[in-house]
Amino acid sequence: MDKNIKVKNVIVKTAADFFMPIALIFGLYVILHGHLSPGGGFQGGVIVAAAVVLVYLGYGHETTENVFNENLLKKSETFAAIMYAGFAFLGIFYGANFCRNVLADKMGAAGELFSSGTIFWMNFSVGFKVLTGIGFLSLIFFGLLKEKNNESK
Amino acid sequence: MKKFMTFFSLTVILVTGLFVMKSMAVLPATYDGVAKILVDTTIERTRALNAVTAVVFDSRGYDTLGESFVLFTAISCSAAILRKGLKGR
Repeated sequence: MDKNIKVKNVIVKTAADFFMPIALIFGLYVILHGHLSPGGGFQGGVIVAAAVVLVYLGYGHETTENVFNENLLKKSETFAAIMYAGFAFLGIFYGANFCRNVLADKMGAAGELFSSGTIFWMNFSVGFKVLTGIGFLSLIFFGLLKEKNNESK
Repeated sequence: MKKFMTFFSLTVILVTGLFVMKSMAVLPATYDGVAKILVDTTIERTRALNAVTAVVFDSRGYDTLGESFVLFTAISCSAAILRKGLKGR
């Protein structure tokens, strides 16, 4: 029985090792290419936040708590929310409406990575916000699981 | 009485449905409306190839702002209720 659990752990750990870089790279690709290909900030952020779940599944409570900084994640989420509001206020500073895409002509031709003005930056800030927020939420839930295990023992 | 009410309500629903279908069939097509303008002019207005992202982050920027703050509020409330799960506690 003990041996069985160990074999299962090796399989899960290998799968976490294999899929975590893929989740990070693919999620960042989906966030950064949100204005060029299907996807966007919300979807890519959730894909990146899956890395937290994979680390927890493969390595357990202690490694998850050592690797991720909860306070940093929480502060980053707030910062990203302010960043979105700041890019929305950029329209007022340029003399147009709130949320107006004022940088559209200043950044590059259609199809390039750094194009489409504030859409790119708003997409990035929403992706950053979802990434940190969902990661923080997962960390809280995993902390609850640990608490419950300690009480039952 | 129950059987009568069942058939009566079904008849009312059927007649209303047929009437609505008949009157909606003669409505003018909405293809030339806002949707066509958005799809046709998205590249020259925003330089974004993905029309969905252009709508979500440019035409409906307010909506996305509120959406992201909904997520922020939900996570803050979860952190307040599930304070036991935080590392320091």
